[in-house]
Amino acid sequence: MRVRALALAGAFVLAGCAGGERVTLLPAAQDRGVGAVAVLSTDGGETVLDQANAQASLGSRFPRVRQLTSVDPAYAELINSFPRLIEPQAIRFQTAGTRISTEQIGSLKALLESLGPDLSIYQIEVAGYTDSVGKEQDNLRLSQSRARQVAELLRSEGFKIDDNDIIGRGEYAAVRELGDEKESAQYRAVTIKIR
Amino acid sequence: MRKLAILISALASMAATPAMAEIGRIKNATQGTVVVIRDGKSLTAKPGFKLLEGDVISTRAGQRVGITFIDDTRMAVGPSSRITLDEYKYDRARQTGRSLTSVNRGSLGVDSGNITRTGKDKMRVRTPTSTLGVRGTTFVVEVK
Repeated sequence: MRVRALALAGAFVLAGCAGGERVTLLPAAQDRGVGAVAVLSTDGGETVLDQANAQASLGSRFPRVRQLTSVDPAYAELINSFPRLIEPQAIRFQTAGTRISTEQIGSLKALLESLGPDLSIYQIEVAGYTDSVGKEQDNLRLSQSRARQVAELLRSEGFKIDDNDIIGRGEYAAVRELGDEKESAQYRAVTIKIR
Repeated sequence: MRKLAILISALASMAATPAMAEIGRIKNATQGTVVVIRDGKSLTAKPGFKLLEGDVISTRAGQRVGITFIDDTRMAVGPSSRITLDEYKYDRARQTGRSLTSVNRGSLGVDSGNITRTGKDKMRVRTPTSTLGVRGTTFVVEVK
């Protein structure tokens, strides 16, 4: 009898563990598809959630999946705590150019002022890009040079930018999107991202 | 003499420790300051606090914390939670990397960023019983 009681207690504990862990896929917080989350098992299998409001209870080899009809208010409250997304600003250049206009500086200042009095919480990332024409290392250097020059100009205008946040991204994005040796004004740019 | 030896030892230790780079930042928090545990020490964090790989974020009952990461992932830590940033490797030039975050208890909302574009399941979230592969999405994990 005692053994049976222990077995029952064990079963309740296991059930409690399984019910106590779950993952819920939500409607995308950004303008993109719902995407997916996979519950990975050690044998290489997976249970994929790819519908908004699908929920999996974790803790067993085969997670139980159910479809919720609406978003739990507690989840909505949590999602509301995501930090705000700020659209990056792009500065485009003529070939080998690094000039930034006073209008662009003005709009950046206006954006920062709109963020509130405590700007120390924000990270300002200045990233340079090139198109995919030329050698990889040359493009990396050019993108670093563009990012550095824009960052120095912004610093002279009072923007606080950490050295680690000045980044040369070379031709990597252009090669990924367009292929190698493709000219593109879109990638002769420096982006300024505030997060 | 002993003080000098301790000073030299401390300086040598500092030189041997590579500078850790910021991986993310606490951006908002309800109910005042947040506890971040780093190398076993409890730190008091507020918005603007720079997070490092290995940090543990601990929230009080009723508290919520918003975090941004350098790959543009956003997280929201729920009340009474303990979240460990086990691994975070990100090449800021190539915008590729991998990460592993543990939800030890409580709740975590995630809006994934560039790491998920690196390849399948390069961003992972672990609970006490399971591992999740993140494929470009928004989701909540709960551990009660």
